[in-house]
Amino acid sequence: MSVIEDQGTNRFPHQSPLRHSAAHSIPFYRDIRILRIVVQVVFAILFIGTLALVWVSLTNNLKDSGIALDFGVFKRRFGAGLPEGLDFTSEWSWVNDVNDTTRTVVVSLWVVVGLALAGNFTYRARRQKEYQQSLVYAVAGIILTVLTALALRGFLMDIQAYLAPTTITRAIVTGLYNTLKVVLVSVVASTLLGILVGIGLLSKNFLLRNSAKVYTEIFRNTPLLVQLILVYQAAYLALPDPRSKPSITSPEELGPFRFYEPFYILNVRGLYLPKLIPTETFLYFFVAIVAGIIAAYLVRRWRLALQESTGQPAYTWRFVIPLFLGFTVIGWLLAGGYPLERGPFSVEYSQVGGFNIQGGTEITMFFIALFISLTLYTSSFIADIVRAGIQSVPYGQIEAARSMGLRGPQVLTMIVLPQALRLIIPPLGNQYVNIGKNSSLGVAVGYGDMYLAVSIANNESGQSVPFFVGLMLTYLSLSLFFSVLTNSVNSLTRVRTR
Amino acid sequence: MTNNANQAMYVAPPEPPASRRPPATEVGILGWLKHNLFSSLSDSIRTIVTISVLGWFLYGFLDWAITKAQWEVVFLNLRTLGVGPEFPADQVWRINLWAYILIFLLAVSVGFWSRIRFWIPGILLAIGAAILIVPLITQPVQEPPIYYYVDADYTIRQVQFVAEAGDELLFRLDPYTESGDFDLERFDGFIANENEYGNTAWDELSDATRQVNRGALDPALFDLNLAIQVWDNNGEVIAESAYTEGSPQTVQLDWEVPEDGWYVVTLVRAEENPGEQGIAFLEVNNLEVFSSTPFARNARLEKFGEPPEPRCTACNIETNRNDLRFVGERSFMQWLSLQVAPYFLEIRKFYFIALVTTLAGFALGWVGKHYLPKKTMSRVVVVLWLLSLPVQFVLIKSGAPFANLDPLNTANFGGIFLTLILAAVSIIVSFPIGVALALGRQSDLPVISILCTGFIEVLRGVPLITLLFMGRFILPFIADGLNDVDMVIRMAIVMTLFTAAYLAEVVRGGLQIVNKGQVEAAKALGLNAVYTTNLIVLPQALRAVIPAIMGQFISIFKDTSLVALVGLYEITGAMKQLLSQTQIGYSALQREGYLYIGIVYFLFCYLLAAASRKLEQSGAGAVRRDTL
Repeated sequence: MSVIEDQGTNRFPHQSPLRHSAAHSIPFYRDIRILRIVVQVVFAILFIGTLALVWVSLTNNLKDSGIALDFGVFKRRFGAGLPEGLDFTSEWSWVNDVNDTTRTVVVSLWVVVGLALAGNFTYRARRQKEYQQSLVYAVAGIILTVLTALALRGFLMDIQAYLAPTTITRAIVTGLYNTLKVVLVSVVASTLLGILVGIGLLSKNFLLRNSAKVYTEIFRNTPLLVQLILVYQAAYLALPDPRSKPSITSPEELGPFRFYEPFYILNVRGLYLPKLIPTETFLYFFVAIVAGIIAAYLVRRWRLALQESTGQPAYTWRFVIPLFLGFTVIGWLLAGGYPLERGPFSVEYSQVGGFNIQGGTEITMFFIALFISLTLYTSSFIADIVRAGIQSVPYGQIEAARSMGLRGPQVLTMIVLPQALRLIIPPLGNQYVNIGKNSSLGVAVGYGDMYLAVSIANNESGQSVPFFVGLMLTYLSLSLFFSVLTNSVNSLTRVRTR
Repeated sequence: MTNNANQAMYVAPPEPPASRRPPATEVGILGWLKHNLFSSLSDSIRTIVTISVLGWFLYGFLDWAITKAQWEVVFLNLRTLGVGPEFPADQVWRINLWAYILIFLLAVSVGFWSRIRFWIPGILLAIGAAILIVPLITQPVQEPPIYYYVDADYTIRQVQFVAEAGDELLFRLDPYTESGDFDLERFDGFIANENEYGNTAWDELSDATRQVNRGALDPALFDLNLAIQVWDNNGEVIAESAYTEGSPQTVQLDWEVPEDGWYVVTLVRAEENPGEQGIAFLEVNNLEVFSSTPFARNARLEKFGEPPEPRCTACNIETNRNDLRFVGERSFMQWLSLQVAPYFLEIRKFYFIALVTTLAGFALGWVGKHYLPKKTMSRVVVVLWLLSLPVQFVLIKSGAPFANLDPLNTANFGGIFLTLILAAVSIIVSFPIGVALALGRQSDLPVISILCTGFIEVLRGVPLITLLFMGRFILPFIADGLNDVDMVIRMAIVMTLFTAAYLAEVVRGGLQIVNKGQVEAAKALGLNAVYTTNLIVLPQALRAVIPAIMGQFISIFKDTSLVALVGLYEITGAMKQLLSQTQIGYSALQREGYLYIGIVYFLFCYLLAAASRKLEQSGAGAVRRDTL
């Protein structure tokens, strides 16, 4: 009883042994368990309410201004063309003939395979007790599968029903193809350049080190947009234009502007290279190359096993490279490649004809400018990441490796890089995601990426909301895809601790 | 134990004999070169390769920048680049004043809180000296001649110009009679390839080149009968040279301008024996044909009146000097005189006021640091900043009725001013949002955590340009009030939301490094959640991420360039708009324009990055410090 009488003077009533008794329970508005639920419900209601309000107001205002919201806009025809990408009239015309059944089967198969892959990744992550990772895989897998399936369905849509050359979905998928094209090439190039400059930043050579430093400072401290326009315009002003000087067909007539060569044509529209077209005998050559790769792999395994058992150095490259080259040459000869004109490829050169350039492979100036500027800009960041990663490896490790008798490249590949990669890969992945996002700047010079397709379609139809949602989902899934990729690579290089 | 007596008597060791001195290749400049550039064979190869690449690049770049580039697009349009093309001209002083206030406060803060290196005022003073000296020493340097291409088929243009009384002009008609390989190198200075709209002079020239090289045209066979004429504003001939009379002789006309005004120079062909073929160039000396900016044009019109009408309908008066201009290889002094000195003359007023303001600020900060108690002075600086805020707001936006200042319309903002405003507004306004989002993401309430995470990840996952698309096309429809808001404010809203998402991640990094024990200790002391966050967690977390926030500011500063793509005239957009004015020939000056923009961005970002590094080294990023 005395305990209850003390209640008045007790300054910490919730610590009283009697706090659970019904008579003295704390009021509900101070009960943290109830408060938590109330706060969350209030937030959820606020959030949903705001969304609903915005949605209602958006649809009403759009209706008032004469643009009824229509998510079916993706099926409408796409009037303008993109400067580059998939050509539905010739190379990709087969998609016009895809019938309903085939389309359903292909899309369903895609969904099944995508979900199976996602499930596999999730299951493996769960088995390794990486629950957060597994959740990411599951969510990302489902979102990516559904979005790509939708895009695939739109891509294979029978356009005859709409009596139009192509649909907006196809234009966006073409834009996505262009985006991915420039992103992939830039990822590879900026990584290589970034590693080179990053190693340059650590060089003992004064000149090289400071040049690398100036390089990174210049390119990371100016906006990508300015770099992009500068690269494009510099090329545009320096190169000849086939339109204004159509009669220039030979190097002699160009005077000092000698950009015409039989092998390539470089002008303001782009770079035109010879195109390799496989002939009937290409199959032999292809089989030989595949066989070469398999043989090289087997030999490498054998050499490594030999090293494991005897301790003799493996010298894998001394075996692998001649082997592969040998297979390639034999394949070329088998395909009838002697004399050279009868080989597995026939070569189609670009030629100036009138106002246009025919034949060959075209790499547009838009692509070149975007590729160069993305590469320069991103490589300056990657260089710094590489430098920080390599510097994080204690110098004693390198000294120890040298004292064990490892040579320069061996120290780098066997001691430094495996440790540095752990620090390099996560920010590197971020840079790749940034390349994906930054590629949308190509619209400033007219590169036919997803954003350009969407903004053209938006100008034609005024349906900004569906396009915005589509654009956002696509870029989000791109980012998601890259982060999943980075995460998987990262989990490979992570040091496993118990 | 050392002997004290010996310590006091220090005797320098004798100079070692030559045999024991280090070899000359190990010390001094030679030693430095050996150790840093040529330490081994591969090192030497690296050095040589780097020198070759650098030399090739720098030579090409400087050669272009000094002898060929036309920087007038920059120095004739500094106001457009500063405040945008639509900013009212009579209000520009407010922006200038705002800039001076900011510069002064920054200088006071730098002077007080950090050590001023001697080279900072040194560099500023050196630039000031250059601004004074270069225009002085380059005054006598002449503008290079302008060449106009002439042949039998080409409509001879009439070139209008303004001149002041007493100017001595020299026109020369120079027939080109060298046969053989027609020398195109000489005509590099023509804006060679302005593709979209064509360049008549270049086209004519390349036609002639082709004909000469084919043998269809022999420049040595010159039989044109031409003379130079100068007309006044009414079309009266007031000066005329001799005719070439069908022979390739050089004809020239020395002419002293009688009075200020508009004049036209042209070539006339003789009525009888006009000749059939030949190539010639009209060379015009000591004359500025036409300055291309609207401002310069208006100044001309005010001073000299309306330009003359063309005398015949078929021949148009030439006012576009980029079309036909041949600059050729400019010398270094000509570059200084024609490209650098005008730039200095344009900026010198602003620069010297800013220089005085900076030095005064430094002095005030330095005095406060050394002669006032630290606490008093830091309060003074903070109060100065706070006091300046309403003044800044009045100057750049709201105006003040009592001082007869009108409010400024944000829709007219542009130039580097808008760039700074957008970056500053988005980082300042997004700060509380970012902190709230970071706290929300860390929250253990799942609904809040998921909502915040979703917001952050969605905004971080899409490119900024997509959000700008939203700001342009969707935002006006979300609420009725947003319909009337101009693009500048809409873009500021979008940039703020975008920055908030990134800032939230930065702050989350700070929250994660706060020791859990700190939170537990706070709880043990009886602080509730709000107090724990405000007093214990946030101060430590935010202090830790100051350098990262600076990095975020740099990134946002660069990202503001993207609003040029939705039609705002911030510095990139202003330059884009200038360069799209084909009628004054700017479209061929893209490289110069964007290079200048790039340099401006670089200076700002590099200085910010350097300041951020300094801040980091001074320990601003440390979680705990004893003094402020």
